[in-house]
Amino acid sequence: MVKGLANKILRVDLSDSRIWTEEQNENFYRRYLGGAGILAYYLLKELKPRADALSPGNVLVFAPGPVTGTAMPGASRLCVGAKSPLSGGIAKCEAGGFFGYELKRAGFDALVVQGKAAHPVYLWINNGEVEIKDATHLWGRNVLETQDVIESELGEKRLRTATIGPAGENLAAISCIMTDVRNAAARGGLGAVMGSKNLKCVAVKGKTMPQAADPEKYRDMARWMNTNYMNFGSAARFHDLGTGADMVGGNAIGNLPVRNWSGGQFDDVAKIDAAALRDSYRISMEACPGCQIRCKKVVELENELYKVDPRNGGPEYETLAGFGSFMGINDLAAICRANELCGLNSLDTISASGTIAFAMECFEKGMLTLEDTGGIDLRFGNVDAMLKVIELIARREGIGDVLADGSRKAAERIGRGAEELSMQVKGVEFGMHDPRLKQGLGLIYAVAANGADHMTGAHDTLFTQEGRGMEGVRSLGSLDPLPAGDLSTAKVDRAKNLHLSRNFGDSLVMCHFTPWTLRQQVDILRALTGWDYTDFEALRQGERVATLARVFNLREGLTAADDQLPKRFFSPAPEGALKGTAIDPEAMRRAKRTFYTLMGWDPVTGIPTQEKLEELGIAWAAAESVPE
Amino acid sequence: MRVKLEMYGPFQRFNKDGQLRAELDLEDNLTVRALLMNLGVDIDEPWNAALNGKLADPADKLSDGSLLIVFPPIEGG
Ligand code: SF4
Repeated sequence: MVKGLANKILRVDLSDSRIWTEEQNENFYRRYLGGAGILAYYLLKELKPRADALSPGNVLVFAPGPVTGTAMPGASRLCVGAKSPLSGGIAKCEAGGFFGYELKRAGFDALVVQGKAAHPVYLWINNGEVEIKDATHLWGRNVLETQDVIESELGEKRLRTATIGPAGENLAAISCIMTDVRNAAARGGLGAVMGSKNLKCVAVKGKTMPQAADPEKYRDMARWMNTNYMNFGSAARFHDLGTGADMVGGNAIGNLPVRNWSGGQFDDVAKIDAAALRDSYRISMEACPGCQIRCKKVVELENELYKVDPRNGGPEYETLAGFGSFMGINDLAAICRANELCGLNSLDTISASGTIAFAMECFEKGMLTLEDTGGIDLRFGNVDAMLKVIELIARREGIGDVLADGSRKAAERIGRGAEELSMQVKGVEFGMHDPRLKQGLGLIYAVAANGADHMTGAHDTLFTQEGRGMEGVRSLGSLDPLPAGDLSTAKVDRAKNLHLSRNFGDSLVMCHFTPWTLRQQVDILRALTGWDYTDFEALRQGERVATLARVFNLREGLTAADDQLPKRFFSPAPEGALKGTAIDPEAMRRAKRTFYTLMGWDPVTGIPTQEKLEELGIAWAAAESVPE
Repeated sequence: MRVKLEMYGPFQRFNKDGQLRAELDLEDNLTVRALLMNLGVDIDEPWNAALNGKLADPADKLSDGSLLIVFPPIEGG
């Protein structure tokens, strides 16, 4: 028994309604920890190679981490993943709110779902007791309605849920899973995986508080963060404004994405940032359990066209930029509504906005016509068109059906050269940060197993000058500030080590916005489990997770050729602060090679070497590592 | 020299009279870092600046008519 853990993994096969629990030994937990580690392990072990992502053979994993469920700030999250219908590789997301916290307290380190139910169902996990319940009456309902109905039929208040809306039911590859209505396990199409299993919702209630090996030390560390977080500039900013406080500056240095990256400057940026939101529709800020930073915006508004309900939360930076500058839209109310529509329907706001912006550019360039769009004038800046298309995607109607599987698939269907406008890696649309500015992040966008995800890499602009930003990388052996556009070996090494430390964080699972250092995270794990865990093991854990995810992708048929940024980033930005700036293709090619080498992967194919797998204690994965 | 200064988010309070946008009369050849220190910004906290539309280095020198925008580094979300 490992202290702090539930020491039990819940397994459910929906095909034959089988429910069982599994116990793993201490070495398993020390080797895979939780979250992203447990996800990668179960995907490789339990998914038949090349199984279709929307077939019963896909395995959907909800994995809190060792620290989840405790009162530690930042420790409430969980990792959710499966084989992605969007990329064909791994989908791995972290979601906030109370769902992960509650799942752990219900007595499970993870929930692993396989098979497909004969009719719509939901899972009811009540402090260790598990039931599969009929959800036929819930099919077709949005996320908020589903929550309300389940709460009332179970007679439970404050249920914690992971739910899909119509987009997930309709198997849109850009759909997501919503936790507690307003948080998302967003990327890679997990909503469609849940929908393909006829699983509408997982509802959880838990009461068992995990016990730390050294409760006093553990409490002290939690207290320390809750007393000191305001001394950290980043945390103080998240507390005041949440994400999106920096969009005006982002526009000034060329980070803000504009009109599907066909532009480079957005003059109305101050109308759509977090400060504008605070001064207009934001009514409060919310927290995840145990965290004083309270960075989650809640908005409320009503106009002649629509109402935005505060129960659906509020837009984060990615959404403000995605439905704002990325579509040439400056209407903050409409962005809040787009955020709500995506949430209710369980659409990933990043892939949805990326795909709609792509369609807008296609329309402007004549690759899509009024006939294709069913009469919708899908021009940049058209708010009504944006809101309409979100609903069409969720219902897979008309142009919505073309766009529901993301911009890569849509480009294949549209033809006419549209693939040049599809801004994604491995089919996964970009986070809203320009890789021509942040080239280390650009490298991670290219090589990360889960596609162009904005949380898997760290942002170069944090480490361009001396100061506290550098503290986070000095302990990783990176002593000198480096320019944001640099792709030297030193930069690749830094990007790789930050990628590894994020993968460790995603195994704990810790929120990346709480300003814990790697050392403190290790201390937290030591106090929780009683292990003599070290920083060395932490980075190795990050490496293990990234390597297992790589092995999974290779097995599923992805190759080094999929580690590729869109052509647009290799040609000069047309306007704004980055005007004339492009990524040097040769420098990026070299950086990728260096990254593979530093990871212990083959420098050309990116296949992890046998020695590396053995070193990481995952020699069993060798059989999976070479594509057929 | 006269410099236009915009300071966003947590930095606004350090600008002249706590304004978002201000114009400042400054001695010639001042660097970005020196200006921020003079204004009382804790320059060890992460910050980014754009000088005349490009990501600035702390050692960049300001000149007459410069536009400097200071803001927290962009991350995540
Ligand atoms: S920083 Fe924000 S997202 Fe992270 S745990 Fe705290 S409230 Fe949740």
